Amino acid sequence: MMLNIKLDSSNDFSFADSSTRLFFTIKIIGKMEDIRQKKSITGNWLIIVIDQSSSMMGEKLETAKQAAISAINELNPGNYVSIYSFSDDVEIVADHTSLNDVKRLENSIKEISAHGKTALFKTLDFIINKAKPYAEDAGSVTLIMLTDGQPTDMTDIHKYESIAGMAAEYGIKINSIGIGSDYNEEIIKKISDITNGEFYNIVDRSQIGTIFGSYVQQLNKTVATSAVMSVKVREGADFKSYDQNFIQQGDQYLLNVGMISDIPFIITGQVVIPPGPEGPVNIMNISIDYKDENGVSKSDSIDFKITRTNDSRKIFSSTRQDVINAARVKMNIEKFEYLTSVGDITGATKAIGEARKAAEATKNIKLIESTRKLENIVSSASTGKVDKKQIYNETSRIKKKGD
Amino acid sequence: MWICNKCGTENDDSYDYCVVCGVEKNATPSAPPVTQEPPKVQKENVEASTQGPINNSSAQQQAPVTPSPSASSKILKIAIIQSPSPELVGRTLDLDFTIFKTISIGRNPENLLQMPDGSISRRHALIELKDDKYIIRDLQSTNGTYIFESGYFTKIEGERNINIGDVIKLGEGTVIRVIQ
Repeated sequence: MMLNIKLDSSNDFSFADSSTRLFFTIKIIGKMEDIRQKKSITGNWLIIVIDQSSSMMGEKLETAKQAAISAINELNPGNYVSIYSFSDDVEIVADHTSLNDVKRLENSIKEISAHGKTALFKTLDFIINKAKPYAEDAGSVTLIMLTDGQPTDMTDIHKYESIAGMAAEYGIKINSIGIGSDYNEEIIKKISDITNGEFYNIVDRSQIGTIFGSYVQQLNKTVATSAVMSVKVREGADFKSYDQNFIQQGDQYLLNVGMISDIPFIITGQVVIPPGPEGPVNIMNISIDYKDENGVSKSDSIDFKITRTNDSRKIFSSTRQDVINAARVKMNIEKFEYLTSVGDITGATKAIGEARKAAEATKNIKLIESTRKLENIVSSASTGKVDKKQIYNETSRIKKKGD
Repeated sequence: MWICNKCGTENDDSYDYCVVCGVEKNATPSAPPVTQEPPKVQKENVEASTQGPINNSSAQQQAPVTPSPSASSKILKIAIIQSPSPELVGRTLDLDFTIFKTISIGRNPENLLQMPDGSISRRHALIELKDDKYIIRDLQSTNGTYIFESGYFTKIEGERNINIGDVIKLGEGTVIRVIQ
């Protein structure tokens, strides 16, 4: 087995006479010995999408191009890259290309020049359909998209939700980077949320290279690809994740994890267990299907077993406060994000206060600082005018990276 | 705010489930267990005991659950005035410092004073007899140890003296009063 799946729950018991919510954290990580033995997998597909509209002209575009050039130089041979740029239309700079001739790729990237508008929808629709056969049949697709402007071809967020839903289904993870102050954070954040990618609001241009580099590092340490997690709940339990977007099919919840490296992939959430007879029950089964370095399909699974009891002392003495605190942060961050997006600043302020208190209980300094920063952003904003770009940058990191 | 019927935790109104024990809002309170055990005073975690190891039965004898007149100034009497376990509310305990120089409080069985409250840390606090004064020390517990003063519970950072009449909160659901 190349993967470790670890499940921590807030309790091993639930009340027999009442509904009980338990928090959980599932951690998936590539086994370190495989990475040390350099058994990392190639054949991944990195797609870089760069906005080349006229507003990108100058340093912004040059920094993005340089970051793309560094990425293709650092990515292990055996992987594939695509580079697309877009303005009034999509331009294919490199299409599912191996890394045999990096110099030629570099020259193609250098030729990207700024002009025209921002046809974001058309671009994403084209790329997702292009990536579909590969994503369905073979490896994992990581997409990094950088933009600085409002989409000029489509402004209906529901249309973006629709194509992002398709991308999530095919296992294409879209990581979006917004640069400057004029892009539409609601749209690109939504795309990343639906596809389980990350969102970044760039203030300092040098961050672009760092972000591109972090994805390349992950791809270079791949130990499993095409990973799909399936959570099957039993006993009428209700499952919810605070940080990942699962697709529900009856009592089964599916998540396209994609590639897995030595960086832990974390899922935090809750399961509500209805009352029932005292005794042990298997409340959910978590399985993960993936492909190993030889492309062979494998599967691992674990069960989440609890015991229903009427003895409340058993429940109180089995409480795991560390799991509760970590989950409370993400639960409130999710709530905060939603309330911010709908403009309920009073509710958002309360939610971030709860998140900050829970973060303090975790004693995780970075998490405490992040939640305090969010609290300051909201409290210092004038009525109804919060900096959503800055907020989403923080919340996305807390949800996906845990700090 | 709403108070959990099971564990006594104060929850924000926006929560549908208790953040500590997980039970749904408005759940039926638990019936007291048939056998009512007091918080246990055990020998396993004797810290800096002045009299060396003792057996478990003698430890139990040093923590009677019924009020008794103080026979010595080295017995600290406390009363439980709030607890997630309703059967413990109103109980008094004699903490005998002729045997234990330090008494540990926590959720886990290795503590001398084991409190059945999910919001109390495994190793939560220590009560110590030091230079003829009783002090309480928080062991960097998750939900804190508090003392009631000037109308509010104030968090205890590090250690502080405790006196007769002091009201102390452990975690989110347990409150004790020093009565003698």
